[in-house]
Amino acid sequence: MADASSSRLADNPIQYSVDTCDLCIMVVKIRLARFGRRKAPFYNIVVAHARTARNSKPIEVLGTYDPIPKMPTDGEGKPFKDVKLDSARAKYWLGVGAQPSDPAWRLLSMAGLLEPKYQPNRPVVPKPSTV
Amino acid sequence: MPPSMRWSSVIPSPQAFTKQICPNAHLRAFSSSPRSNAGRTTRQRRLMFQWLDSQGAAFRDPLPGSTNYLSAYDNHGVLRRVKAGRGNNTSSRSADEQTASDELSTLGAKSNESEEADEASNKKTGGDENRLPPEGRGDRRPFPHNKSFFSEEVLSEEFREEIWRRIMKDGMSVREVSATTGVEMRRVGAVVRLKEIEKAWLSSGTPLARPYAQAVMSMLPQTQWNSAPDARKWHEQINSLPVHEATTLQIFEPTSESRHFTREDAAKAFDENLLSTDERIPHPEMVAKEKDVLAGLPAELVAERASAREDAEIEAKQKQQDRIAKKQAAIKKVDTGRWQFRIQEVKVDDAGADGRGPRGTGWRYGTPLMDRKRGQIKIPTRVD
Repeated sequence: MADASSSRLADNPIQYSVDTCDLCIMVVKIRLARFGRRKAPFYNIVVAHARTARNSKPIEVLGTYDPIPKMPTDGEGKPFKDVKLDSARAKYWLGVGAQPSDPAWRLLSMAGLLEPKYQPNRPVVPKPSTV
Repeated sequence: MPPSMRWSSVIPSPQAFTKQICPNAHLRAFSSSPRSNAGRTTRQRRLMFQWLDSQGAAFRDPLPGSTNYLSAYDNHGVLRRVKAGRGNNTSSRSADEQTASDELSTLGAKSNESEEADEASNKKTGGDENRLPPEGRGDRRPFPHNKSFFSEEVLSEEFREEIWRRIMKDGMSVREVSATTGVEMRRVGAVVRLKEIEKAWLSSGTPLARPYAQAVMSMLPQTQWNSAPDARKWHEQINSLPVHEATTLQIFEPTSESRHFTREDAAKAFDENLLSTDERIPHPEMVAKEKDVLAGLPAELVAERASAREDAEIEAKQKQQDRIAKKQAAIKKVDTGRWQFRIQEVKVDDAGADGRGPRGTGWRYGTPLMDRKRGQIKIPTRVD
C-alpha cells in the first residue's frame, strides 16, 4: 500500500489541494465593467482576472457596449444598441480559456464567436424517459 | 287722455326710411334699425354710401382672374391699370369716369360669359384693347395703409405639376430644377413633398378639397408655367445668401493694409469652420458659369466647363455615398426581438502601447473625467 502511494507520488511529484490550485492558476474572465453615470450606464467589454475589482485596470479592453437604445436617424426601424468589439482578440482570449460572464456570453454569441446559451425560440427537444 | 301715439306713425318703417335717404339702398339688407337721430345724415354715413356706390360697387361682382385688392381701384372705382393702359394707348380719348366704368363692366361681362376670356386675363397677356392689362406690383397691395406689403405670387397648379414631373419622372436634381425654373431649392423640395402626398391621397381615395383650393388660387396672384425657357418668368430670387448664425456678430478684425483680405479670410474671422460666401450660396455653379461668360470664353467651352464641373460634383458625391455605404456594410446588425444590436469591429491596438491613446475604444482608465475637474459648468446651456 505504501509502495503504491509512493509510486503515485513519484508519477505526480506536485500535488495541489483545491485551494492552492485556485491561488496559483488565476482564472481569466471576459466580463463587462460598468462606467458612465447614474442611470446612464456604459460598459467596457474587458479581459480581466476573476478576482480583481469590477472597474480595476483590466488585462485588455476588447470593446464597449452601450445598453441605452438609440432611435435610428431616419426614424425608421427598431431602436438600436451599439456594440464595439475586437473579435480577433476576443477569439484569442476564448482560445486560451478565458471564461465569459453571462452578459459577455450574450454579446459574444451575437458577434458569432460562441454558441448562444439562452435561446427562447429554440425548439424543445423531448428528454428520453429514464424509467 | 289722448290715445297713445304709435312709434311707426311718426317714423316710417326702417326700409322706407333707408330708401328715403339713399335711393340705391333697396339692395341693402343691413343698417335697417331706427335710430334716435334718424332725421340727420351724418358725414360718415354719407361717405359710406358714396363709397358703396363708387369704389365699393366694383367689389359687388368681383372681377374673375384678378386679385380684387382695394389698392387696384382708384377713388371712383376704376381699375388703375385699365386707366393707365388706356392713357398709354389712346391719349386722345378722354379718360373720364363713365367710359372707364363702361369698359370695366364689359370686361366683367366678357369674363363671365366665356372661359377663354377668363384664361386670357389669368395669363395676363395684355395688349388687346378688350383684355385686362397685366397686374402690376402696385395692384397687389391688399392693405392700402400698409404701403410696404405686397401680395407675392404663388406657383400655379401647372407649375407645381411640372416641378414634380421633372424631379420624380425625369430624375433631375433639385438644384438643376431650381436653376432652370427659378424657384428656390427649399420650395422645390416642399412642392415635391406636397405633390407626393396629394398623389398618395388620390390613389387611396381620400377626398381632396378642390373647390376650396380653386377658390383660394383664384384670389391670389400666380406664376404661370411657360414651356419656353426664354419666355419663362422667374418666380423668385434663388441665389440669395442665407444668413449664418456665426456671421451675425460684429467683429473687429485688425489686419495689415497690405494683406489681401478675401471672402475666405472673412469667413475665417467669423468662425474657423465657416465656408466663404462663394461656397455658401445655393447655386455656386451659376456664378462659376457667369464668370466664364464674363471672361469671354466661347459658348461651347462655357457649356463644356459647366458640365465638367457638374460631373466632378456628382463623382465626389458618389464617392462620399460609397464611403458611407461601405462603413455601414461593415457594421454587423443582429435583430433580437426588441432591439437591433449594431456590432462594429474595432482594433485593440488603436489604443497604443500604453493603452491610453486617443483613438482607443472604451472608457479610459486612470484619467479623471472632465466634469470632475475644477471650473466645469454642469448646467446645460442648450436642450436638443
